[in-house]
Amino acid sequence: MEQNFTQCSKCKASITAEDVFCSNCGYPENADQEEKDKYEYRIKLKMNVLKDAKKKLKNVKILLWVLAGLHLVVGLAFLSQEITFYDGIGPIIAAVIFIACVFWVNKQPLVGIMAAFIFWVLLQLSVVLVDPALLLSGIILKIVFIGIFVKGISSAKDYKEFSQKLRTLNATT
Amino acid sequence: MQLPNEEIDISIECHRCGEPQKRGYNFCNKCGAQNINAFRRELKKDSNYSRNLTNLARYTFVILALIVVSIFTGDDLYSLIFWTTCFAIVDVIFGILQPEVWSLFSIKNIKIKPLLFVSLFGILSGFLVSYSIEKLNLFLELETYNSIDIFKDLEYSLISAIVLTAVFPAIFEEMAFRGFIFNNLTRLAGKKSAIWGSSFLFGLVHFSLLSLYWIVPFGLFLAYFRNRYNTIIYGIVLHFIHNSTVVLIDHYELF
Ligand SMILES: [Zn+2]
Repeated sequence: MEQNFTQCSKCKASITAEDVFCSNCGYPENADQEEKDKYEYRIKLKMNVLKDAKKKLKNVKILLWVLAGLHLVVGLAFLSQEITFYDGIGPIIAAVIFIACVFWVNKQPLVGIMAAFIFWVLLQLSVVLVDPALLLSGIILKIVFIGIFVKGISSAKDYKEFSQKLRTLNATT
Repeated sequence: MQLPNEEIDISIECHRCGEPQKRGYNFCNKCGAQNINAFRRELKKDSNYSRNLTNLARYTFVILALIVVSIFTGDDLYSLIFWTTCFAIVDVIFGILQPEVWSLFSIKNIKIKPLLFVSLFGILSGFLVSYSIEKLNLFLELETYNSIDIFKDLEYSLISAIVLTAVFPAIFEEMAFRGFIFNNLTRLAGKKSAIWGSSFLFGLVHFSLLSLYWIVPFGLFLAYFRNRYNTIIYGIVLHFIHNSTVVLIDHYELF
C-alpha cells in the first residue's frame, strides 16, 4: 500500500494526501481557498492580539526607563548639592531597580511588571512619611502610570500564550 | 488507502464528524475541528491562571496594606504587638482559603545536616548583617537603630524581644513569602520566577532601599531552601536564628 506523505506547508508536520486538514496545526492543506482564507484570518487575529500585547509591554518598559531616568537625575542632583550622601543614594538605588525591572520584564513579563509595579507603589506611599499631601501631587500622571502597569500585567498572559501558539503554527510575526 | 493500524486509535474520534483520529491529535484531519480535550485543557489552564493571579494579587494586597499601615502608625511596643497579631491572623485566614500551605510545615523529612547548616548560616548572617549595618550607618551618618530599644522597660525584655522580632516574624513571614507568594508565583510563572519574585517582594516590604543589599540575597537563600526541600521549616529556623542573633548582639551591645 502506497502512502503519499507530504509536509504541511505551515508547520512541516507530515500529512497524507487524504488529510484535508493538518492534524497538528489545523491548516486546511487540501481544502478549498475559502477554508484557507478562514485559516489565514484566524492567524491574523492571533497576530493582532500578540501585537497589542507587545505594545502594552513596550509601554511598561518605556515607563520604567523614564522612571529610572527621573530618579537618576534627582539622585545626582542631591549628590552634587552635597546635602547628605544618604539623600542622593536612595533615588540612585531606585533608578537601578527600575532598570533591572526592564530586563526582568524581557525575561518574564508577568513577574517583572508586578515587581516593578509594587516597587513603584511603595515608593509613592513612602512620601507619606514626609508629607501626606505629596501623595496627591501629579495624581493624573500617577493614574496614567497605574493604567500602563495594569494593562501590562493583563497583556503578559496574552503575550506568552499567543507567541507560543503562533510559534507552533510557524507563523511568527 | 489506510494509515497503518498502530497509528489510529479507534476509541478517539473527532467529536464533530466522528472521523477516527490519531492519538494526541490537535485538529481533525477531515473537518478541521479542534480536539475537544485539548480545547478543554486550554480552558482549564485559563481559569487556573486567573484563579492563581487573583489569589496572588489578593494576598499581596492585604499584606502590603497591613505592612504600609503598620509602618506609618508609630513603632511603639503595643503597635508592634497589634500588627504582629494582625499579620498572624491574615496568614491563618489565607491558610484556610489555600490549605495546601500547611503541608509546608511538615517536619517528616527534616534532616539534621541541613538543619545544622541553616542554624550556622543564621548565626553568621546575623553577625554579618549587624556589623555591616552598623558600619553603613556610621558611613552615611545615619542614626543607628537598636532592635531592642522598645522592649527595654519590660520585665522580661530579652524574651519579649526574641518572641516578637524572631519567633513570630520567622513563622509568619516564611508562611507569607515562601508559602502563599511562592506557591502562587510558581503556578503562574515557574520556580525561577517564584524564587526571585518572592525574594524581591520580601526585600521591598522591609521598607528600606539601603537594606535591600542583604534582604534580597537572604530571601533568595530562604526561597532556595524552600524550593529544594519543599518545606519552610528550614527557612523558619534560619530566619529565627538570624533575627535572634541580631537581637542578642543588640542586647549585649557587641558592635
Ligand atoms: Zn500543519
